[in-house]
Amino acid sequence: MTGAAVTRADRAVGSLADPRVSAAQATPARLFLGSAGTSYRTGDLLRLRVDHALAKDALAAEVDADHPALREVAGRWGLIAVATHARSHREYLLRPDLGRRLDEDGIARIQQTATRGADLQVVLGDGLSPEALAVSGPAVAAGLRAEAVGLGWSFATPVFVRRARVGVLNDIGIHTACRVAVLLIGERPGLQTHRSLSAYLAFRPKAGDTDAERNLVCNIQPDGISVRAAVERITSLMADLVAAGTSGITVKERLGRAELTAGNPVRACPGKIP
Amino acid sequence: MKGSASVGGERFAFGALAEILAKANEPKSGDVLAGIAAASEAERMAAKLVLADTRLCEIVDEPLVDDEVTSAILSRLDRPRFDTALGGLTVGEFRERVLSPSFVSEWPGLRGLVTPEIAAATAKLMSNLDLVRATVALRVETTCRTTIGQPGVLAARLQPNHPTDDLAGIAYSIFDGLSYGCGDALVGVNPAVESVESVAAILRMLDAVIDELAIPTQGCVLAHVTTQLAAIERGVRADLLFQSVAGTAAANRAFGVDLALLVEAADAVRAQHEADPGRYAGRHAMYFETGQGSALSSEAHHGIDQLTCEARAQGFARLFDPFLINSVVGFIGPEYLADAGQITRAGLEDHFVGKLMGLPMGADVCFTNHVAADHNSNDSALLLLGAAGCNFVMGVPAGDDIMLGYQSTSYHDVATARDILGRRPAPEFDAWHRRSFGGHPADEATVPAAIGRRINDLVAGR
Repeated sequence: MTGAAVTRADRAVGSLADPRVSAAQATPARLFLGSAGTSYRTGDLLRLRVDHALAKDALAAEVDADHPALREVAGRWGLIAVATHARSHREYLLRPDLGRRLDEDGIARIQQTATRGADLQVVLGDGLSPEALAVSGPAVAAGLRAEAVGLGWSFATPVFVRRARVGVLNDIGIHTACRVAVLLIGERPGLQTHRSLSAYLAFRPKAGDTDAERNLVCNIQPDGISVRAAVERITSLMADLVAAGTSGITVKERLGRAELTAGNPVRACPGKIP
Repeated sequence: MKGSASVGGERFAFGALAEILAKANEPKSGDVLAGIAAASEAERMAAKLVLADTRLCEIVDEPLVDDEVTSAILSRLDRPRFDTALGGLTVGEFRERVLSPSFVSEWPGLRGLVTPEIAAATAKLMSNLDLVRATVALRVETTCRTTIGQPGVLAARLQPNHPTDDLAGIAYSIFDGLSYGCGDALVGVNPAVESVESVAAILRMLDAVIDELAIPTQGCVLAHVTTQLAAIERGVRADLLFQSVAGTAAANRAFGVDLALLVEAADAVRAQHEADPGRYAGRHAMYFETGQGSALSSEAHHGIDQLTCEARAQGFARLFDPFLINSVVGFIGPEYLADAGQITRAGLEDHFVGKLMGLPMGADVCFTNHVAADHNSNDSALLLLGAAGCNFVMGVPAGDDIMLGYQSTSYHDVATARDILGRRPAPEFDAWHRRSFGGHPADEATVPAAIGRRINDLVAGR
């Protein structure tokens, strides 16, 4: 076929009578919007800006130990609230190194009150979307506790880390000597979703560990991976880590093709927090 | 190299070229994070004063790090010609030469003599307007299947990503982008799944769409270079071989590449192209992405500031005679570029240093939601880079990349920027676009049947 054969007189039929509908079944991309001149139509411009506004607000939201979601966790299993060295939200954004280290008060509190050497240490981190932690964190933690009980694993008092980066797992491992740590942390808000939670798993986390020593289940959110599915996958991974005696890139999650195509990208966990 | 200067009655002394370059850099949060930025604005200016009086030969004589990036770049430098043409100039004098109207005529003979460190040093003495002014006349044309970079052309990479690599979803995005005149630089998909089978499937689909619709462009799947090579070995065609590169050997190792691997990759894709001369009009076959901060993020910066690292990444890419280089300027996050001002500055710098070295520079004008930037600042940066003569920008549906989770320039933005700046798509593509779409974006009533049938086939799994 040549380009000349593609003319404006030669129209498509069938499912492309309304390509917007067909496309919407195949991709969440914002397609066939039409335009005002070359610009967006007003409704599309405002929808984009609404999604961006929600993402920015999710990023700026503050969740502390008094938040109802964390009070719920505290009421059921207790909660040790600590913070990192990042002293402001701006400092948290600009200095990821500070968000990877517990501050002195936090280390002291963990040393005094945390469960030592537990089989499972659940850590709740606000990350870049505190809303994600509030929406999904308590339910995932509850699911993991139930699974831990079923496995006969000891379940440590959960720890909440304010202004946390993923790397704070190392300090948690150092000061709790846990066997498996699971960090539930809010991911960078996107326009498609602003409350996506990730679970980072580490086997006996220690100083110097990087993402290469961690496993990840991402996109836990109302429109993505359900809490129930997430708990199943995390639990399966936890068992695999213990069996392997290690965590990270050498332990591959066993996923079926159905899971791969169910809106669950393998690499693309948007906004992975370094 | 040592040097010192006084600013506001205070004397600042510097002990090495790397320190002068780092402290002379415009403010970047990444240089602060690395602990190499100027401690005060006065110190920054003192470093710029010292840098302005530094001779270009002194820069070449003090390599910033002893690694294969440095040695490969310096081994290609014609030192006698450099010494005659540029070596005796100071950075301040070279800045003025670059900004003079006559520079464009001597630049073709000089660009091969511009090392990354010299380009970066020159950028540090330039205002934003200087960076735009300097590059307006520096056109770099490259040819793979088609040619881009001509005067008056602002090309676009069509970026039809999908969170699970659904081929129909990708095809719908391609079709919509084509209707806005995006895709003349390339149709380039970032894969969600890094498997050879999946990458090969996307490459085959791009091939089929481009061929069947006779689109004057080239396709690319931005997987790791080893994954693309494995696909080529299975007989899949790759118009462009992609790889992210950085400015130090250690940072390239973190990307899983080194010089030998990229030489092998470039040879493999060239061999494929030379076997099919009717398809490939030109010799350019590589597509690289760079971006300030990548070396620091892998803790491989060796005390070199992020603009200089970026220039070195581009200098490394230059060894492979690329069709395109794309600075993914706002993607990396606020710990490297804190806000819209830093992103805009970095975009103009990256474009300038690349063009000065003779490279076909494009820019992913973009931002993430956790940086102090927004759609308005992105619009402004797009216009500045367009005015500067950037070879290509991105076209993403509504600017919202649903796979990578960041905001870039949209199909609409590309069409708007071309209108404002008086630019056109690349000529062959422009003619195709007029034939296919009458020069207008598509809506429900104007879907060309051939494209529609192809998408229907993809939806049906054919």
